[in-house]
Amino acid sequence: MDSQLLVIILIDGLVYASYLFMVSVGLTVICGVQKILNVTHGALYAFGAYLTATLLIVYFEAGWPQFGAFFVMLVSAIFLGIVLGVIIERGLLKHLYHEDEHIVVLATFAAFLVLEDVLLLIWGTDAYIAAEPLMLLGQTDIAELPFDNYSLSMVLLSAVVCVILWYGLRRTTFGKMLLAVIYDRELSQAMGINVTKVFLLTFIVGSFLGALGGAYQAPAISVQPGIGVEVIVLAFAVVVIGGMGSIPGALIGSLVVGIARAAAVHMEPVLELFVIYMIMAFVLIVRPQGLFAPAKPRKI
Amino acid sequence: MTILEVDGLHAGYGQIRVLHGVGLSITRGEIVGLIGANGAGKTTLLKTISGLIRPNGGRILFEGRDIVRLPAHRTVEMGICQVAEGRAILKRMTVLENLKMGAHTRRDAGVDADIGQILRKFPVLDERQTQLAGTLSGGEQQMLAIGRALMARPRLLLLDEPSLGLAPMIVTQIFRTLRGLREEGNTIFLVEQNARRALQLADRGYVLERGRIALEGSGEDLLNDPGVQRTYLGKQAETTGNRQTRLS
Repeated sequence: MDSQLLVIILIDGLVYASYLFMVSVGLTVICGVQKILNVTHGALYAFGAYLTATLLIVYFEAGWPQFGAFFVMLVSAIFLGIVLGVIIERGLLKHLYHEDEHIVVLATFAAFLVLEDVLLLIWGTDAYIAAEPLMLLGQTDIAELPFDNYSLSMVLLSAVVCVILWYGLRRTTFGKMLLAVIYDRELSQAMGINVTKVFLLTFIVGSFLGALGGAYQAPAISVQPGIGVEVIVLAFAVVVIGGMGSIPGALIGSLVVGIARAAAVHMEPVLELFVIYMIMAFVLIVRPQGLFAPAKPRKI
Repeated sequence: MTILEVDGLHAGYGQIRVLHGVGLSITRGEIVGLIGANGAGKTTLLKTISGLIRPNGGRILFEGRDIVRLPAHRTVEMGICQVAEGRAILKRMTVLENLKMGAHTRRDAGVDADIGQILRKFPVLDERQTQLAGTLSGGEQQMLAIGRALMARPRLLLLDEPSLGLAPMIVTQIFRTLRGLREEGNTIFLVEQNARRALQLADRGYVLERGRIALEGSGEDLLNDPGVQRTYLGKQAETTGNRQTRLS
């Protein structure tokens, strides 16, 4: 293998890993705190992409300052995180915390299907393309090959998200309360932590991260029906590999899947998807709880 | 002055009723012990008082206010702090983080000073400030759990089986600590299976049997009660040896 191929695989892998981390970290945070597998996460991603693409098209037609586009992405993600997050958590999940986990998965899956149709109602079946931010940042040559700076900036964004999350969890009171709920829910309650509030805020943050993934990805893709499904499946794979509820797990899971996929794409393209699920199957066989989650006795 | 008054309390889990009309009262500054066999409802009673279980009926007055409908985080804010059974600490956080978490409801500036005070009270914790709580010994974990609860500056401390699974020497140490806490003016509601130790320490005690208060009295009276001796202290007719053959 020549060194140029290696560089391409590493950079492509890193970019793809960043994308995976952005979409899976919110899922794993919700999973860790609320102990639910939230399928609606895919819809949040899709909503983030659609809303951002629409707003960007309007924004660039109006001819406002170009770099404000990044602000548009952030605002739509915050807006969706709060609005959809509150609706889904207060309207649906709140009533299901005492139910069996399988029922919760089914309920979030049902909500996901409903949200997918809401997307179709609002935006129809047309594809939306808002590639201006991608053009705006230009390209860089690495190892004599051009890479989109926009894709590279995704690595930076994930790194920033990762650091903020790490800092937020380890160094702030709310983060520590969140960790406490992850480690021991009943003890946290007895210690006076308002678990209802922690659940709602966690879900808003998780939903925001899902929407942000979609918002930032929007300029790089053609936004069309079906992107939510694709993302939720990939994000599940990453979370399963890394360990449900573990942020370092999501990070490592994304890197493993991202680089493996890039290697497949450049060396044996037919294996692109196979390689992801092969890793997942392998992890499930040797370490069913995922790479980073501590082993837990299963509740019957 | 009465700090807690429980009256006609019914509670349980779903269809299963555990408490059938429990009544008791606790006066400021005393240690009240609650003894009873496994499954009598001791832990359920504590969880109901602290708001983790919503009762089916009855009243709980804390400093004159009815707290029966309040969730746990509100009762903690009001000053009721519970140390749950087992090692009620966050094992994957450090000793210092656990103590800080104990004070998370407080907004005042005295938190750091209180941490210093707790560390002086429990010197073993002082040496292990940055150690993960899960790596402490059982007795140290129990002391941390108590220290953590004290960080909330509770007006009423609920302790669930603090001696559970600890070596006799450590148990002695824990009970000495509790005595010290009373001297500082703390009010403690102590649930224990180790009936003898609990009643020796407590000012007053209650015996819970199948979800009802079967007996109440001063710690000494209960220790001398033939029924209590037979059932909870494992004494035969002649009380000579200290060997306990506890029923449980």
